[in-house]
Amino acid sequence: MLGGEYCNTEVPVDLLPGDIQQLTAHEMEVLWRLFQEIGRTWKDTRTDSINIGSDWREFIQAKTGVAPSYTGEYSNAVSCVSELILIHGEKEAFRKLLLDHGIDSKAPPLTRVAHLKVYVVNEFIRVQVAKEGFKSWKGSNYKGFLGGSRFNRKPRARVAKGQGV
Amino acid sequence: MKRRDFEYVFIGSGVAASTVAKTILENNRLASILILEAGPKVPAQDRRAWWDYVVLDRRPYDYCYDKKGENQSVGKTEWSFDDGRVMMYGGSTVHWGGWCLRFKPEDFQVFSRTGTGADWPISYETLEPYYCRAEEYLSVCGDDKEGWTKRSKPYPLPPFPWTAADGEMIAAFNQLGIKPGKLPIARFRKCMTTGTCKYCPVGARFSGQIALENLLSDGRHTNLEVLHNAPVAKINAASKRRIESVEYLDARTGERYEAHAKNIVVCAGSYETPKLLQVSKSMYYEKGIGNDHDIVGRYISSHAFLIVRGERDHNEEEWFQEFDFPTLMSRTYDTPEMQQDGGKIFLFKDRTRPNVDIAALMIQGMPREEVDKVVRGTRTQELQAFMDDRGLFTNRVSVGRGQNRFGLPQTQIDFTRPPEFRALIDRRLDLMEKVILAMDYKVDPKNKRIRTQSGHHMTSTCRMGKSPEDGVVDENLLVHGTDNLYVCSNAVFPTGSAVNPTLTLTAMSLRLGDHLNAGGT
Repeated sequence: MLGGEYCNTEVPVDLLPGDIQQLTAHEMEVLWRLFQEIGRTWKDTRTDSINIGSDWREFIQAKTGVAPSYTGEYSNAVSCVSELILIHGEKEAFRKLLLDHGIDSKAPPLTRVAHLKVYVVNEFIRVQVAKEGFKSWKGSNYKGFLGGSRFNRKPRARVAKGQGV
Repeated sequence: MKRRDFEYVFIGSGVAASTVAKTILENNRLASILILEAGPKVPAQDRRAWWDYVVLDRRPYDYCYDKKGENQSVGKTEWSFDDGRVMMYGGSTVHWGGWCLRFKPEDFQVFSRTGTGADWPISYETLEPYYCRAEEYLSVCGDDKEGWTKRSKPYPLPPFPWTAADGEMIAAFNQLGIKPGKLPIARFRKCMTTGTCKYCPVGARFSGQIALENLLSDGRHTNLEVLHNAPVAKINAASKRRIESVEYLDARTGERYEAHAKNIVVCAGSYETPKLLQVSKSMYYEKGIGNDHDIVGRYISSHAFLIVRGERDHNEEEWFQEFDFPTLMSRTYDTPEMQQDGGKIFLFKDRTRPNVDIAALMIQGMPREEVDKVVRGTRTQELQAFMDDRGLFTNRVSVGRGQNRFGLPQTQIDFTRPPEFRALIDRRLDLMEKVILAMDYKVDPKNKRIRTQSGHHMTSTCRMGKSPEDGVVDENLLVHGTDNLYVCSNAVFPTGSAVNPTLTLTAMSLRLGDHLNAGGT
């Protein structure tokens, strides 16, 4: 089982309640660490995700600044991560959460740790891959990547032989 | 019912209404115009909505599609209403792909050439200057050297390049004598190819909503008004020739209005336009406006959508689709000869393949080494095609049972393909399969098929014709027998073509705008 008493507390499937408000510095710090661990685990980041930090912060702002707000989910995520680290130690906590979680992401999330996985980890993975991670699989473009004007010298996608911009 | 007065009332807010309104306002910035949209307004370029699309694959307007169980398919051929149109401010341009292909000259002469379908009362040559204007307006990125159709002006922007994954299909095309082409696609210069074209974060693809918002934000257009959540219930006639008003509900207040206008233009698509004419009965029009000869809603034409998918067991190049639109197409089988043989097809490579959803594998908890194996494993490619259609009198759209959540009557589709259709489809699928086999891919027979029929590109339900017996509207899109009721929609196409209809509708909208600016009837 992943986590302890807090992580496995049953909660409703819907978004956990939270106001439209900024996260605290501590919450941002823990969530950023979680985001960085995604790139470290799949070895698909060249700058420890620092180069996409502004994208991630804009994502967090979009998720907490308007309804439905994710502040309740992010607050829950911080508490879950803290308990996971307390129980498993830092390295093992993130390994379990990302690779050995045993959580079915297609099933309704009914515990606090399932909420962490579905509403936070899974979405962070999508942000991380879309903004940087896909490049480590030879891609030049990916859904959600804003590469700049297509009229640059460098093509915006891998192109067929002899095809320039 | 409160009365309001305008010079023009438009019903619908998609490419047709926004383009005609823009053309009128360019001629007379003070023209008084009311645009009525039944659906809601969903914010465009909203950052939260865009992020939710990226991470959850959830479009903010998903609730504006037809829902399962809402409409009725009563013909022998199953008709799908899924994802076919968007009922919201901006209409289906909110989700369109921006594919902008001109019809070919023979598409305007289907009956003369084949004895089936109908001829257009206008020719390709008549529409050609409007095609040029439409391409500039929509900002079409195309290949001037293509040679598929005669053109008097170059495309406004160069084409998108073929992607790496197009390469092996291009080789197969060349081997089989199929000429490869670059898909002309509407994207403004600011496009950043973000792969989220169904909800662009920077407004880099034309939509009726953005076009109308631009008109509204121009301080000179003081008499332009756009209302969303305002379904139209009926069009009223003051005499046989004079159409005087439309009745609409402002769903946000619950109040009903009667908007009077010198000219009324119905731009409500191929489903709603005929239904609205059918229900607009009066002592002058017992069967509904324009329906004295019982042809409103008939002659449904819609592309047959053919696919052949192949698979191979290795993908060492680690290809996945990087644009959200296809770049490779061919019109080699979109010819008069194929038209005479029963149906032209327009070939294009599936915009979603090859593809590996890397993030989904990571979400499952798959370690890097395993993800690499999947990425380098099975690769699929798919060739797709639209086939042209000639409407049958017996195929009809009409008013269904009950109303939908936007206050529009539900839709009944009575659609049956003729018996010879299956053999024709099989011949076309065989042509497509040769391409996939030439790529050295294996084809599972279940992946060589026709998709369930739908109305994504439905046309002809209020078709143009030279006489009231032959068509609902004349060559200027005026409803036969009236002085001031126009229809501007795919519904007026006498027949469809093998290619997407929106560029042609835009050209027709610009032409109608010029006609109205010149005084109309």
